[in-house]
Amino acid sequence: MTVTQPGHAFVFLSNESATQVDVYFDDLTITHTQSPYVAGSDFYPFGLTMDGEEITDEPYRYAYQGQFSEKDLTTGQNEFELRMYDARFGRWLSPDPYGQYASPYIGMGNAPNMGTDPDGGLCCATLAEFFAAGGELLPEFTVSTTKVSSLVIGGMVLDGLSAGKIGLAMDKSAGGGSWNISNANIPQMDQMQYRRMNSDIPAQTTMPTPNTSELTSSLSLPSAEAIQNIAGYAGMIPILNTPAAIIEASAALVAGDYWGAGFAVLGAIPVVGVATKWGKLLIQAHHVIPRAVIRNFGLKAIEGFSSNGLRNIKKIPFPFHAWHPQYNRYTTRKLNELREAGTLTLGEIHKLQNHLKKEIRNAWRIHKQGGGNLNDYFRNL
Amino acid sequence: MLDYYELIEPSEPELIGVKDGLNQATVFEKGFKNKQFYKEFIRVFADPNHFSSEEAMKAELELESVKLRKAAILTDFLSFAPMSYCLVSNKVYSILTKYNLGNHRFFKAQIEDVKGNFINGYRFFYKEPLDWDIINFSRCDFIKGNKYDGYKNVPINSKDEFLKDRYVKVKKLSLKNIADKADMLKVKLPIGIAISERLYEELNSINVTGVKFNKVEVELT
Repeated sequence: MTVTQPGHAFVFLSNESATQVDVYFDDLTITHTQSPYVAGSDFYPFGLTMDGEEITDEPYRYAYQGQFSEKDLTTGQNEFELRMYDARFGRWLSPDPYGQYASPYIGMGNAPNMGTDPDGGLCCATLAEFFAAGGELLPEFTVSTTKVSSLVIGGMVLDGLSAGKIGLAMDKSAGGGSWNISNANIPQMDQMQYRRMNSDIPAQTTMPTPNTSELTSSLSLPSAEAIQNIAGYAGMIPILNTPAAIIEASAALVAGDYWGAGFAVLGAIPVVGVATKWGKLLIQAHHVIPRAVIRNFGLKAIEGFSSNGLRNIKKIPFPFHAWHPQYNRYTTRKLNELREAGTLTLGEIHKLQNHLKKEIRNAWRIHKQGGGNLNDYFRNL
Repeated sequence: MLDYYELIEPSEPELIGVKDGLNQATVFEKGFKNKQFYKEFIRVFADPNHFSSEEAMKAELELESVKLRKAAILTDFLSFAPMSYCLVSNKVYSILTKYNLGNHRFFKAQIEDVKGNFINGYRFFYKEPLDWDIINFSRCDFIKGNKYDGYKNVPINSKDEFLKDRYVKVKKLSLKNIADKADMLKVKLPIGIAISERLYEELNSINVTGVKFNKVEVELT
């Protein structure tokens, strides 16, 4: 029996003889041959995976918002580029850095059928608008020679697994190198594919393009962060820990770092607070593009670039973080390559930041398996 | 197939002295007597919003003051900021000038150490990258991965495909319309300057410092 559409197949045995007769079923075998799809899922509107509606033959980590699905190292929450998300409630766990909606925590403006939010920043009505606003997806598809991975992106299931939603399938005959739209009844999908095929051609959209440089620069609050950092270190000194904690909490609130504010308040508790401060050293804020590299390349002169913005900060545990000259050199090399190719633009820097974050995640995974620290990983990259 | 050697800037503190793995020296504006040279360097080589190799090849300047960072080791290949460029010592300069380096420039440079002593004989070396159309993408080998998980080949057949997926490594470089005797190659791909085997051997014979070499396959068609 060939299953041609999504659904459930019930296989059962029944003795329907009119009179009671013993029946023996022998050597009955039911074989389920998988479709070419090796990964996929159906989702509730806000992105929670439906139990029992998943195909997990091969690992596949791009989920509902088209973002690499990654659990945060410390909290276990789903980590997007800018903030963490809880699909059970359709809420982000920290405020919207762009302040798009009245409530800074709601996911996709409380209308997941209308928009996507691939990085936790702007929620746009279509993917085309997301691209036009400077958004970038990370299309790293797992494709083997005989099987095709499914893809769920931008709130739409792109592999035809879910009836009524758009289907997009990898063209097997093209060796996994191109995309074919199998059910192109939503116009923005054409634009997304078009964008991938030729990055020089902007996505077509009739919507006005937001000023991303203003939005990005609004993420940077260096003075509040600086105060927060200084007060944080001052809190390690027992006699200063209570006033320092109050200053740090205030600065954290100004910077929109509510978790940080909460921890800072805890830091006001004598003894426990000092211990907490020292423990905080174990989780460090890592600049994805290090500050010294930013200085060398004068990146602050690039409109919209923010060295202390959330895009450039990643929390990393110590001692995995530690001293990382190899990481610095790798970042320098990559920026040099962008520059020499004439492509040192804000968009390319964001791509580099995404690439570096991905490699940091790889380095951490390998570290947990007994590998070296961040510096060791980048030594061989 | 020819053996070339990629020049790699080391980041190990024991090789360059500085602990952050970055540049050993920095262009020092106050040390310039001719401020026009400084302005020209910043305009042509250190503007993050604009860079043109044509302008770099025509620039007229001297780096009158490149200040060594504290603890930096004075090496034959010496990296300096802003951006990340390279000075070469006099002995490296005298070797390089004997070879076919393609389009390049040497600019006079003077290093100032932390005690204020000046060291002459260094030159700022700029090698112009070759155009995109020189690269035979379909014959290059690109890989992606790391030594822990292994590497996989990445099919890239054009400049556009590369620009979409540029975080790869070049395992084999294939170039077209290049003379066999080219001793130095630089392309706009994730690979450093590649030098010929004979140039590598001569540099190696004098035990140059401040650089590491990585063998790379190059095909010239």
